[in-house]
Amino acid sequence: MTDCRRVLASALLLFVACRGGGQEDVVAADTPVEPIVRIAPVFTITLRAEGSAPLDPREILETDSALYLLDGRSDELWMVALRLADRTPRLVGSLRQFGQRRVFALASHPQGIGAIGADGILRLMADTAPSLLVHTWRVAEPMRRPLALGATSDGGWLLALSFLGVLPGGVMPFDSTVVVRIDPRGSVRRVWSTERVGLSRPRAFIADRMGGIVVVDTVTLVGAEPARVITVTDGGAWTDTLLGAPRRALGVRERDGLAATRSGPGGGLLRSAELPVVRPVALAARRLGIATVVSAQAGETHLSLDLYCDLRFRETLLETTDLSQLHLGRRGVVALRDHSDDGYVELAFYSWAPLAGRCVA
Amino acid sequence: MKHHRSRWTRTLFAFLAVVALLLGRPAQAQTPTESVAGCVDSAADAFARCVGDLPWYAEALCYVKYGADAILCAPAMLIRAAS
Repeated sequence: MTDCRRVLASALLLFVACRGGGQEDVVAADTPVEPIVRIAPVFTITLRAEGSAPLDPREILETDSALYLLDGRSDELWMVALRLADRTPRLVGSLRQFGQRRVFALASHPQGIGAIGADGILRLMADTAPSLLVHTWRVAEPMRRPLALGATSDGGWLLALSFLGVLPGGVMPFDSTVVVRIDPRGSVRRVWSTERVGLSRPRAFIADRMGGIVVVDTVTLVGAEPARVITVTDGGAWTDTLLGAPRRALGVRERDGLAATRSGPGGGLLRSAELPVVRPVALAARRLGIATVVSAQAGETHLSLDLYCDLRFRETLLETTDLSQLHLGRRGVVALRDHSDDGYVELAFYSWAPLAGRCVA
Repeated sequence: MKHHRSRWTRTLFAFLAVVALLLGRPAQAQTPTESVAGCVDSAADAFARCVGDLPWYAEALCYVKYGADAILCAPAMLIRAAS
C-alpha cells in the first residue's frame, strides 16, 4: 500500500467516524424504538468514575465470584465482587504494566485470568492479584484478531481468531475464522477453520460479520450472512441456521458509511463486496438447550437480546436505545447501558436460568 | 581538611562527568526485530482502537487498513521504506 493510499484510508476512517458520531448531522432514518424489557436483572450497578470519565468496559469476564471489567481506555482491570453487598468496582490491576494493550478477549482459567490482544501473546495473570503475571505463551502470529477465548477442562485453552491477511503485492484482503486448542504447555493445534472471505466467498467481506464466545470446551461462533450458529467442540463442528431472524433496516448513516467503506482503498474484494441491507442479526450467541440467546445490532448504536427456540426466532428480550454492549457468559449476560453524556454507565446482570423456560411456555 | 574537601570535589566532578557522558551518548539504533515488533504493536493498537471506537459499519475499513499495516511491518517493507 502506498503512502497515498494510507493517507486516503485514514481520511476515509475519519470521514466515517465523523459521520457516524456527529450529533448535528441527524438523519431521521429510523423509526422510533419502542423499548423492550421482558426480563429482569439479578442486579444493576452504576459505573461512575470520580473526577474522570466513567469506566468504558470493552471486555467483561464472569467468574463464580466476580465480574472483571476491562477498561478500554486505560487497560485497567476492575473487579465487582458478586457475593458482597457492596458491588462497587475495585481496581485490581493494569495490563499495561506487562505490556498488554488493547485486549480482545478475557477468560477465566483454574490458574487465573487469561488475556489476549492482537500481538498473539496469551498472558495468564493470577486472579487473586492480576498485577502478577503467571505465564505467557505465544499462541498466534501477531496481527490476528482474537474473537473469543476460554479455558478447557484439561487446563488448556480454546481460542477463536480472525486470520486476516492481505495478499502480497496488493491490498486484496482475505479472512478466515480459525479455532485452535492450546494445551497446558502452550502447544497450539488447529481444530477448525472456515474461509469467511476470500476467493471462495469473494463478496462476503462486509456482510458476513463473525463473532463468538467460549463456554466449557465449546466455541459458539455466529455469522451474520447467512444468519447461523457454528458450534465447535473436540468432537466436531456443525452449523445451524437461525430461522426468522428479525431484519432491522439500515439507517441512512449506516448505508452511507458502508458505501464509503466499499469505495475505500481495499482492492478488488472490497470493491465487489456485497453490502448488507439489514443490520447484523447475530453478534454472539449462547446455546441453552432448545433456547438460543443471540445479541444483535438493533440500531445504529444499540443492541438487542433476541431469543430463539429450536433455532427459530421467538421474541426480543431486551432492546433499548442505550443498550450499548452485551457480554454473553457462562451463567448469564451482562448488559451495559451507555449514559456517558450524563457521566455514568449502567451495568445489569441477567441470569440465564429463567430464560430456558420461555421456550417451553 | 582542605585536601579532604578537594578530593570530594574531584570525586563529585568525576561522577558528574560520567553522568554527562551517559546522558550524552547517542541512542542505540533499534534492531530490525525491535523495529518490526514496534511496528506490529502500534498497528495492532491502532486496529483495536479503530474497531472499538468506530461504528459497526466501519469495521471492514479497519480490517483493510490493519491488513495493509501488517504488510507494511514486514522487514523487507521497512527496509525499503527506510532506504
